Amino acid sequence: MKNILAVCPVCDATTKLVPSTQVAEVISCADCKSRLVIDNLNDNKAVLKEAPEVEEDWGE
Amino acid sequence: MLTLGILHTLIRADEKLLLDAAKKRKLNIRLIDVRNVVFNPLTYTTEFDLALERCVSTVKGGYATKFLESQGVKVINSSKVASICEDKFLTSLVLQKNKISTPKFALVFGVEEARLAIEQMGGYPVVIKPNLGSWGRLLAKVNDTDSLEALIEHKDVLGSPQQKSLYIQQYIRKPGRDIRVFVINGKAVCAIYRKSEHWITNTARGGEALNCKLNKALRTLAGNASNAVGGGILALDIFETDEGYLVNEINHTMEFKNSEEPTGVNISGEVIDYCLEVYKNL
Repeated sequence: MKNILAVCPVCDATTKLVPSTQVAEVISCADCKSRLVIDNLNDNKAVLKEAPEVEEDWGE
Repeated sequence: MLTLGILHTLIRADEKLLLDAAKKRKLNIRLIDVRNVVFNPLTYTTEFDLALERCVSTVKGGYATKFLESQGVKVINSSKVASICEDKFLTSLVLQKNKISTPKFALVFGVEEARLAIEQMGGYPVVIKPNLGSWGRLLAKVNDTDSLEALIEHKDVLGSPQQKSLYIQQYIRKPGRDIRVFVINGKAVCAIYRKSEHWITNTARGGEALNCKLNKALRTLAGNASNAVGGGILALDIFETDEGYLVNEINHTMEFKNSEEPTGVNISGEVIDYCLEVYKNL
């Protein structure tokens, strides 16, 4: 299976994502280490956005 | 074959481990981002047999669970379990009612009442925590009345209404660690020490996860505490003291990604196996 390509919205680096990647998954940019979320997946391309800030009710 | 609905908001490494475990067992999976769902009982149709609630947002997970239960869907964990475990005061009340060892605690709404509560529980230091909260956020170790007054004034001025309910807990001196026991259906499956030089030992705050061998006392305590809150899939945070173990908190959407390697236990597999067991008994 092909890796999925995506561009980091913070540093513009192209990131390779594994085939099991899911929409809403949290990842880190390999270049700038920003926390990102998979916003959209289409064929072998993904759209990333910055992960939201932690909210008061987040956790276990 | 079971079609398992996994309710989520963001997908963490924990959910990826669950997806892998479900795939290995050839389950059908429906990933349900609750942020994209219209929870309207007149239009909603269910496309799964059983739901596993894994939302990072406690509030969203709670409403999704209650909605699905109203539609006759079994959700793990149930809203009853979640409503107790998500609230530290309710958890403490249930533990105390069931005679399960837990630190002394009280809930107050003002400074004078806080002073009185601290006196009742043996004096400073104490820990003030948000009733709803996780990952060690907004925990305050309060060493004296000056700090207490400053903290409460800040919460009164800056906090949400929820933050103005002050859960006060006796401060327990830890031996540089606490214990987290993973419990499924009343049975302890493994445990870790959360080691840290800081008094806050959450792994989300840098605590190191090390294997903790389960003993009879921990297994019994974990089973009893799990039964008290209604069972399901839980992670218990436990303090070690000279007088024995104390159950601090119980988590109902536990994170375990850092715990499979040190314990050698496939926690994600245990979770999915429990879902299969529940499904067989539906």
